[in-house]
Amino acid sequence: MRAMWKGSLSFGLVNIPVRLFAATENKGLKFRYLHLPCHSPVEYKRVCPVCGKEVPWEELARGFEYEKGAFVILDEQEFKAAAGESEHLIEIQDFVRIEEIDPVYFQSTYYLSPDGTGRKPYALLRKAMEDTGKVAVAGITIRTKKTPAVVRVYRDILALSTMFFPDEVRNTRELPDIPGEETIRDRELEMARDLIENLATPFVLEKFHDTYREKLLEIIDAKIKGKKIAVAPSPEREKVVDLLEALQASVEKVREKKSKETAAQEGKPPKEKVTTTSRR
Amino acid sequence: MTSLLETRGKKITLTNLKKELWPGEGITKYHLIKYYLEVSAFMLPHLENRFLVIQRFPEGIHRPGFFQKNIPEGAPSWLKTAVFQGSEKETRYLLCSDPETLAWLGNQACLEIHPWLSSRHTPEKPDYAVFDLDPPQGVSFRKVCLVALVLHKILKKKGLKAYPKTSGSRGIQVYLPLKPVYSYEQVRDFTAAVFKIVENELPDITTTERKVSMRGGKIYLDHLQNARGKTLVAPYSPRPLKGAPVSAPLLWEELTNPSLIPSSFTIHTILPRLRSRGELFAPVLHDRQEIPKK
Repeated sequence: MRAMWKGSLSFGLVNIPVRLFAATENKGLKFRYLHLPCHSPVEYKRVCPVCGKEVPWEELARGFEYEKGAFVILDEQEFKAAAGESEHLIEIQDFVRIEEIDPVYFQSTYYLSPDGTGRKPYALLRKAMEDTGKVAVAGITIRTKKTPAVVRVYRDILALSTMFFPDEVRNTRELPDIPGEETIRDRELEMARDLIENLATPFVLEKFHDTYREKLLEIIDAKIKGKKIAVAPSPEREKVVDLLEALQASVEKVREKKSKETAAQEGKPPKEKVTTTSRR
Repeated sequence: MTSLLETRGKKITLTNLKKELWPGEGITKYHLIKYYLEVSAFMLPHLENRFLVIQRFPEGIHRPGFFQKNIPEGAPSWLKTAVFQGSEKETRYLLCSDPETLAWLGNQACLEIHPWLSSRHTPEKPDYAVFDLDPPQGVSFRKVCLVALVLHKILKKKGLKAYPKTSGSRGIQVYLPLKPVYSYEQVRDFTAAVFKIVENELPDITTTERKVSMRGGKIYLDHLQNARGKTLVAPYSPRPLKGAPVSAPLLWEELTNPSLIPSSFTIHTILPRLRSRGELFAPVLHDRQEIPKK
């Protein structure tokens, strides 16, 4: 695993040097778009629709569309100024009970591992949080944005989950057709409760599989075995081979031409004509 | 992505073969290098032993190119060069006598090759007189052909045999191969005298006037190209223009064909033409003539 962030976890007067590792990975299969007739992966180009030209990197700018068709352009300096100092710090502010935080706020989770001298304070914080059953609310700056996060004990490590800002979670009142207090008959409610009790088990996620991916892998496997494989020619390699052949052919041709001229000169008495090719 | 091309101990690092040098036309650096290699047997004799000035367009033909006389840093050590000692400074020029050098030039996005008119062995004595017919905007190619044909008639009357080629753009360049015994000044004077006769025959469409404002939209007959260090584009050299045209040697009778279009000779069409018509400029290297004494 490769660390994606390095910094320190500050807890009271203690600073724990830590590294962050992504806790999850997306296992969805990646498909590439190919040009069907030749099976080459297509390239994406940034094209200006007005100039009709490909746009080189140095001509790219980032603009904010403040009203339709009108942009404010910000340069890198201005982006940096807004981000402020990127302090590599996870600053613990409060300790709360995890049940107080609704899962809707959780964004992505990272594993924390102690770096260098951090082993002992890491173990201490882990033990204290386990004993109190509390989790830490902290702020972390990843890239340019400071976001809220929760640090908690997960198995035998500390894990950090970034959270959405409160105004990033949509208001439920905007949702249509939500029933209010309808009259519910006791009999119906009792049946529903029984059903839930009957289905209640300890939580095991392992029974869920990504059946879509499994099905796709099956198809891919069959195609590989049946040799119905789309193999892209390697254009660059082919081109170089092509050029090498052209080069060898032309070396040969030039050599032939020269030896013919030399032979012609040696065979016949020298004429008025002088060939530059054999002159040195 | 880079790849290595190697023959006879000459290594060429090819870079960015997919770069479109003619953007939007699908003509990449790969196509340019391939063209240089395929045309090399015909083109090299015209470059051999001549100081070269090259024009590079690393960002493609729509971005400004630049002329390069000196050899760039990091060029392969096997490239042949030679020094010309001018009156003020010396210049180390590139020489090109093998397909490998042409391939390297292609990789440098060199879209125009300009050789000197004199060999490096006799740098003060040109190997040909050049008659450069460069029309201003708006003058039809038909008129340029007419001027070239009149020039041909005049030279023929003097018992001289000259050879025409397209400039690759809208002009025609006529080469009169000479024994390398005349100074640039002598060749210049002779060219000027011939051009004067052309101007007298076609006063409505040609001029020898040096001031652009006084030319009145006529075809300028420029004898001053016959000077040491001045260059014309080499035969078969591509030009950084739409469609990748090349400077194409012609037969005189082709100039009488009203449907002759110079832009039809391109890096794609010139090789089939070479196969069917042969190398029409080969005599320029051998048919060395003398300037007639009045």
